[in-house]
Amino acid sequence: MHKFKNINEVHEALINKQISVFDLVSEYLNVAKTKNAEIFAYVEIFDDTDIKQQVDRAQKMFDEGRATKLTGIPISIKDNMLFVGHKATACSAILEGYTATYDAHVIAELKKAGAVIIGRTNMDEFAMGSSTETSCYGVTKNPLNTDLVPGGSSGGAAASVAMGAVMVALGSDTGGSIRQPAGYCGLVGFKPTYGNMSRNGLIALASSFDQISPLANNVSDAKILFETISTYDKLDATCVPIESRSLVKNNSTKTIKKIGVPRKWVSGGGIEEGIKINFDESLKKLEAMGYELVDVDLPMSEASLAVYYILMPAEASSNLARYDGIRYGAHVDSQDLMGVYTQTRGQKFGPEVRRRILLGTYILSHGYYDAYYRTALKVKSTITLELKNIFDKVDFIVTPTTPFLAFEFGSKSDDPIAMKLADLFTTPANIAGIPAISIPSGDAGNGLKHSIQFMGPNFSDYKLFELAESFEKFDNK
Amino acid sequence: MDIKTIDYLASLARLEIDDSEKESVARDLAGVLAYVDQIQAVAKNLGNIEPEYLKTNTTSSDHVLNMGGQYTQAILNETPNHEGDYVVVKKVL
Repeated sequence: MHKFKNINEVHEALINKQISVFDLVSEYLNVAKTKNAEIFAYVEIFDDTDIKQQVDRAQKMFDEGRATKLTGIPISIKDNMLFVGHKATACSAILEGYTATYDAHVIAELKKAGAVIIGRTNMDEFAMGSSTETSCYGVTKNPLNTDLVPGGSSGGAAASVAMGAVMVALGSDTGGSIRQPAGYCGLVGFKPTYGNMSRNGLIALASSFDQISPLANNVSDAKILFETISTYDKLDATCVPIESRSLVKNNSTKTIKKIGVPRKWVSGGGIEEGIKINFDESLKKLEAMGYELVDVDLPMSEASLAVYYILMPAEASSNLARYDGIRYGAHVDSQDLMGVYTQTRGQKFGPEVRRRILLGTYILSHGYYDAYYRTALKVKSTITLELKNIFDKVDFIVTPTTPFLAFEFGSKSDDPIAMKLADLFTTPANIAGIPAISIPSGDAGNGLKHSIQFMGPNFSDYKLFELAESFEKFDNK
Repeated sequence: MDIKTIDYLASLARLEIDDSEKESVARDLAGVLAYVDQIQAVAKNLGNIEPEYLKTNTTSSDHVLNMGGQYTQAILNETPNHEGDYVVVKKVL
């Protein structure tokens, strides 16, 4: 197998004809086919003819001098993105047999760039979970340690990269669904500023938080994927026009200096000792790199997970109303129309999805709307403001990515809160809409890696890449 | 949270819940609600904050993006039941 450090090196080799697109894709495809039986990263690896057509198209782009950085690069997509003519189910039995009728914006961009999509990856049903255990197809194992979960909801996406079956993967991040599995599988996960990515063609969980996000082996690859797909799309009203993304890329007029550290929060209960130790080591590295560390207090942002578990189920219960046994996917027959609705939904949604729909219904119901939904929106606004004010004083905020490392299958399924606490540090970025990146920060034993997260103000995406890349370089020295 | 509430929510959500599952659903919902209740204390001293969503609005120009019928067949093919260009549902009345 060829050993390339990153997409840039592969691109060079493809340009210089050291390798062909066919060779490159075949290598990754073989790994995918060999390892999938054990890891189950993919719910479907596309058939050879399909992949061959994509390979030929990519090779032609090289031969005609039209190749981009992503041309010929093998990539996987999470099962909640529409790729015309291919199945898309969000790993739910309710979308059994559904075939996408159009391309998601990001898929159209990947096709334009000539990337080779080799399959769709496993995920928690409708992205509801942090371990990929709620998928209707079964669990994905963590390639770093097969006794442990890969994280979630983009667990299959992370596993597909970690097992060497693709160079990069597309997932989605609603409350940490990219950054947490990236942490658990020793990868880089990047959640863009809300509005940088078109959600058109992404099967919705909570629309005001969902962002399509890249997963990669290194910062450089994640950045290349982000650059390619973060184009403006008029079909998503929340997608921000390029000229409004105020901070332009590689804007380096000001030397980056200050990083905020929420010490009180990070030293709190429920956070594994090993993670605290690694976090302190990471802070020392940042100091050695020349950054000034500033203590920050985030009393409002600490409530992000609670806000998230009000707004997310509320939006999900409304978004998932469309699965009624009439429009697409599964249909359970009954004596009347109401029976078709209730039985299709009752029998085809999994247990976690049913719970979140009921929770969202409760939160939005008359009598509780003010106490939960409206109050959560108020706190959300306050969190957004708190972070905005902090970013007037510091350039970035650093936290561990997760409060605990990858866990054993089934170990967090009984307590309704235990699993959700995995998102403790990742939800603030979704609540406030700001970008965040998680990157490996040292060995954690058991084959696992530690991971830290950097957050930045709105549209500081490229500055986050810069910071993460310098941390990565320093760490690998 | 009691079983009666679960039944009510299930009827609002058009979701059949098996009797054997109701107790564990009630317990899990109560668990999550107990956790998220911490926002009441956080929100107590906030006063009147205008929710962010009221602040901005985006509209798109009113023009046709695709031809009539362009996707009709593809979409109909995904429905569990259709006849001609219609989606078939059970009699409502």
